[in-house]
Amino acid sequence: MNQVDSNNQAEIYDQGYRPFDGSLASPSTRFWPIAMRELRQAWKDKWFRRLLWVAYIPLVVYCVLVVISARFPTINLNMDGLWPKFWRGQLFLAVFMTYFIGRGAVGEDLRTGALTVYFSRPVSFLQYLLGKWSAVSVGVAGVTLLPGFVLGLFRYLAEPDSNMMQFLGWLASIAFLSGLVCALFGLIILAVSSLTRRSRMAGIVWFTMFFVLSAAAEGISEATGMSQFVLMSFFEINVKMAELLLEGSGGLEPGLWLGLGHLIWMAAGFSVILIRLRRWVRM
Amino acid sequence: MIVHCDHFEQSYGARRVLFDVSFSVQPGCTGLLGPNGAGKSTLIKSMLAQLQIPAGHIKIHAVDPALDALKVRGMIGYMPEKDVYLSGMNGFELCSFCGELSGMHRTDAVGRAHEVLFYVGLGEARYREVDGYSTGMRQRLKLACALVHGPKLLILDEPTTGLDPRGREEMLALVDDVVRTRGIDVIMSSHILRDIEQSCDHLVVLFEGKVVFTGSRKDFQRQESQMLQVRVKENPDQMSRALQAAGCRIVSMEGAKNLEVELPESESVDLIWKTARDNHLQIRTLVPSTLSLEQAFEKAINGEQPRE
Repeated sequence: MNQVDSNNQAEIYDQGYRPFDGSLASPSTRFWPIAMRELRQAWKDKWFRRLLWVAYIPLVVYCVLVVISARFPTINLNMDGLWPKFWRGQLFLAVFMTYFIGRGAVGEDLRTGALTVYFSRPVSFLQYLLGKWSAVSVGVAGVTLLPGFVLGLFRYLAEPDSNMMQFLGWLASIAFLSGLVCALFGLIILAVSSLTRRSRMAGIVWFTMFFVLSAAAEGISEATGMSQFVLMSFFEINVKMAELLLEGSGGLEPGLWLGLGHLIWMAAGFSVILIRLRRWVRM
Repeated sequence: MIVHCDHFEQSYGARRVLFDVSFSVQPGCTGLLGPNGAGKSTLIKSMLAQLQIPAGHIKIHAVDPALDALKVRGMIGYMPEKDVYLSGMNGFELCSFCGELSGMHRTDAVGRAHEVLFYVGLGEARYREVDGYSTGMRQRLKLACALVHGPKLLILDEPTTGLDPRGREEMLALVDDVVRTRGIDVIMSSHILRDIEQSCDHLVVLFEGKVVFTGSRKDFQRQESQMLQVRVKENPDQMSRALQAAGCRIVSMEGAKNLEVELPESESVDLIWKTARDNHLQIRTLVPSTLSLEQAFEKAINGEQPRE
């Protein structure tokens, strides 16, 4: 049995509050904890984690198709339009990803008064917004940019007639398209989230906008024969932009229209956020 | 000087809330005292650069929040009155997140969050969801979040709101420890006079957007009239009669031997000594009478005692 040391004075050390004398991170990186917090919160949702797994199933399917098409030319697989089809699927998943990360991004802060938590600390309004937007963007890039790169790499390695220039072209296009989707979806979901304090309501609005506007844009543009009507839908303009860049279909004029559509949607989203959070804008 | 406010004004749209506010805050614990709607929270928001400053200046540790808001906010730990928290987080996550927002590296913020949560007495409950915290725990958590980055100045907005008597005592004991032991300057806003009386050495009293007093609490409570408290060794009745015969007014007799006496206008305290000597009575205590904080506050806001 251990003996109690009689010389042991059992000194009690003060383990309470001590002044902080460590170094601080650069103020320009202060958006990152905000983004990481949003991602951690989203990760706690099991449906978000499931979506992440599901988001990579199309990639696996397309990779298998690429290998079969390259290795077994006798099997007549139609690989035309592979990129737009793949991109449309990933965009559809990005809509869900945006919903999971962004639906309560601003609205929850408005509901709980958490903006006081942010803006009583050395965080500017732009850092706050950048943090929220970055979280959505990381999620969206995770289901668009990353699978796109992997598929591009797979095609480059598997298809005998592909070359390095083609591969780099794919990468550049995917990076550009993914950047557009991140910017657009991020700003719109933050705008929607800022309009309501209930994240469920923001989610309903987000999906309603997605379905109704997509259907309306496609229907009206087909009925009238005017492709400019796709600008009505933030989803369809991304699909058309992907067709333009990855398949080379269309030309300069549709590209300008689509670019303009992106700008209008982003400006609208940003304006809504500024109006809703105008009290905090000067922070 | 911790905070210096110079002819500062604030308004919400056309409605002016603070008028020509000037005061200085010295090291230690300063009470920001005033009834609801006096402008306390507006003043705090202005200090935190959450509101634009239309006129006048505020300087916190010689830094103007209007010019360098982020630097000022980095120096301040703010405990808001309302329950503001980020949903879906536990106490530890929220506290470390607050540290990161203040610029701490994640590893530092995590370590500090554990320390301050133990310090405020939430060590055992730190992994519980904030949504399930009691009012007292939330108040403690807010204090921990305000302390996590090691601020120079702690601003507490109604820190005892919603606390039971025991929780209130514990919160005030924490505030006291922060000031006396840890050396952090504190501005405590409250309309609960007992809290201010217990914790604060200095006061800034606001009423209807104006500063009606700034200075030490003892000065605030000191009577400006000829009131004295006299304690005699024995025969207080005889002393009372003698003082009345000398022209004094006996305001009250507290306990067996304490007299509250008002001197005639032209007389000094020597009259008390002379009366005692003439009647062979022994005075044990003779001090200027002080007001309770409530009385002093009542006097100040009624315009009887606007002074600096």
